[in-house]
Amino acid sequence: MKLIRLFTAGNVDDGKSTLIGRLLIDSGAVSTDIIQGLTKANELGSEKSEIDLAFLTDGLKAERELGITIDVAYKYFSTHTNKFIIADTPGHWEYTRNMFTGASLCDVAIILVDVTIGITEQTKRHALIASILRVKQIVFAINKMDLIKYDEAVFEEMKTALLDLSYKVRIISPTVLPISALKGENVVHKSAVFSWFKGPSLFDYLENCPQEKELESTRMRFQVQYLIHANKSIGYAGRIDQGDFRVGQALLLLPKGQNLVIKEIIHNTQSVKLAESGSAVSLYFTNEPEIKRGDILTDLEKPPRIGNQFTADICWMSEANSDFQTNYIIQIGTRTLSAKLVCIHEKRLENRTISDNLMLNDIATVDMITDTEVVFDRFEDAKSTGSFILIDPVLFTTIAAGIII
Amino acid sequence: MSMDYLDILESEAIYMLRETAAQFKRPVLLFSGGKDSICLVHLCKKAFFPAKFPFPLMHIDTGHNFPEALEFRDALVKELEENLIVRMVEQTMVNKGIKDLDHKFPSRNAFQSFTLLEAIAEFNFDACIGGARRDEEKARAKERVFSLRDTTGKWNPTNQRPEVWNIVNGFLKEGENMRVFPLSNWTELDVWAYIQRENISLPSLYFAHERTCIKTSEGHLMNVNEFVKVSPLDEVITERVRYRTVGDMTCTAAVKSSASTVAQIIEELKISKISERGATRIDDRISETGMEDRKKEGYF
Repeated sequence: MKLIRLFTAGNVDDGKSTLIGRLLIDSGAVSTDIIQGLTKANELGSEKSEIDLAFLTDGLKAERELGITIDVAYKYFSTHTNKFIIADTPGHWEYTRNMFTGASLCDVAIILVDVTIGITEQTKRHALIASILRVKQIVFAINKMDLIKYDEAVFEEMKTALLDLSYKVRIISPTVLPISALKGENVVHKSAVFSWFKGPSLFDYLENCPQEKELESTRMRFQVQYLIHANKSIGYAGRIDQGDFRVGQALLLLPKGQNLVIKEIIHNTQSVKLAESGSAVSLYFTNEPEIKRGDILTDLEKPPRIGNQFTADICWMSEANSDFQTNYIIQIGTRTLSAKLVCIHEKRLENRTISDNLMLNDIATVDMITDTEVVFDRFEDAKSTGSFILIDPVLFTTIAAGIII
Repeated sequence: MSMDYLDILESEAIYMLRETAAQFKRPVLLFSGGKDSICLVHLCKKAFFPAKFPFPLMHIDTGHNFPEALEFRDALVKELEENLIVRMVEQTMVNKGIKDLDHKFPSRNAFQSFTLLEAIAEFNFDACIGGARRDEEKARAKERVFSLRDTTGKWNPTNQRPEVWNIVNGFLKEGENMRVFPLSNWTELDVWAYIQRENISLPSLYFAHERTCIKTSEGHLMNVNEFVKVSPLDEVITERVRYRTVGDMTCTAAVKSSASTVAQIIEELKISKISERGATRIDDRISETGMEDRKKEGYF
């Protein structure tokens, strides 16, 4: 069975939560007591008599009262071939950081567009985030088609506009589908109202998605997470970020620059000859090297870069603006060190001029400098060594997420 | 070759357990004797093999636990040779002068939070690993894997730290505490599939057996025991039942079932139309936001 992670995005009231409610109910993933609970919950605030599908995912009291999604809700459903993890992300500009959180691990993005409103600033922002995060499969679902009588011409016009937007934010070959989440048209089942549409239903599209595989590359990456001391030897525990690791293989230890050979691989309490990308293992080496948490083991041919400066696309997630003085804590995978912002090149997509600081929800290209040398990759070469978060050095809140370019 | 979804979930959980061991000074694993925490223990064996766990286990014992669950707990800890801390809710109630609820099914669930917070202070724990899953309940569906509690033990659901990719921020200010949920992305069915694949033993309560129960007006089957007030008007029946969750005897209902093996339970769950907590927890149903309210007070 494959595991597929997807998120829904789009403007407020474009129908994200309703769409997920529809996917869950029509695919039979929701229990009857929960559907009854929705009817009960509705009596609290809303005067609507029919089940509000959005209440399936808007689980917090504040969300129900305000009728909006504040934070990501994770929902799960399975078919015979796939387990799906759905992140229902907020549409409000104020909660962009939560949208970024929900989107960060996903293989598939579903960006909803209200056909009666068209492309909004949030549509553009979400498309940009999906593009920056290198989400492999991006679907624009043109929703509320019932309100325009399932008109093909209107759909085609909007499709053209979305393909134009995709080109601008560097999304390659997105899929565009017409749906009505409220009526359930073309969500799980193909529908007669869209007889002119030759593509799949959203559900069929998802069923046929490939599971995320690590980038087709020969790069091998392993970040040391934890040291296991037992029987007078040390196991270096971590999850293989990418590449297949074999006993006898020569590796490079960074930042030290030492060559090592794998003596043993322990996977699930067993000694194995080969461990594939994604496995949580512990590695043992012949020459007892000095290795600590945060060190990186890589192949010899295409190692990461080492330096104290890099350029990144970042999403600013704090109410406090950025500055050029603060020594932020930077966490790259399992390493933490100190870093400063040194230059803001451009704010992506915003109609604002370059300024001296980043504000909440800004997405920008910046230069960063770290206090000591750090091992890193470009995000497109290796996700886990190419991504980072910034942490406030006093409050310890997570204030930005970045992608090294 | 491509990993199966259970391999991915397992690997993700082990990654989070190791991050917890690496990022915190005094973590603890909250162990209830239920299937989810038993899976966590199994994952710890893999995460830290061949070493012992780098943290103790702790059970917040309501005093209303099923004897089968307690026996299983003690046998498992003995077999693992790991350290188990037990703190009794009863002791907190004595200290604070709290009396059991005057209720037909007097749950002590609400008081567990007090005992948990006292134990965290007593041992200076900075991270508590729990077996909660996002599919259990709609407030939990919103929670991060590394979920911060403020200095009073409260969860602030409208201002959570962004958790981007698998980078988990475990920095704490004085007095703050982290809850860690490595099984966040597992569903009830995933847990059972994993139990089957890994051949994990469970308390007998999870499998079909004969039991004398009160059938409540809502149709819940409640175990007859010394804490429950049985009235002559109650419908007392003996049924073949099993438990989908194992909590307090006073608020956990049994479900009618003939499933006596893991494979049969999986088949049963696939056709079940009732959610896990909906079928078995009478405490969540008190109000629409029952879980969120309790978590804000410091509950697991």
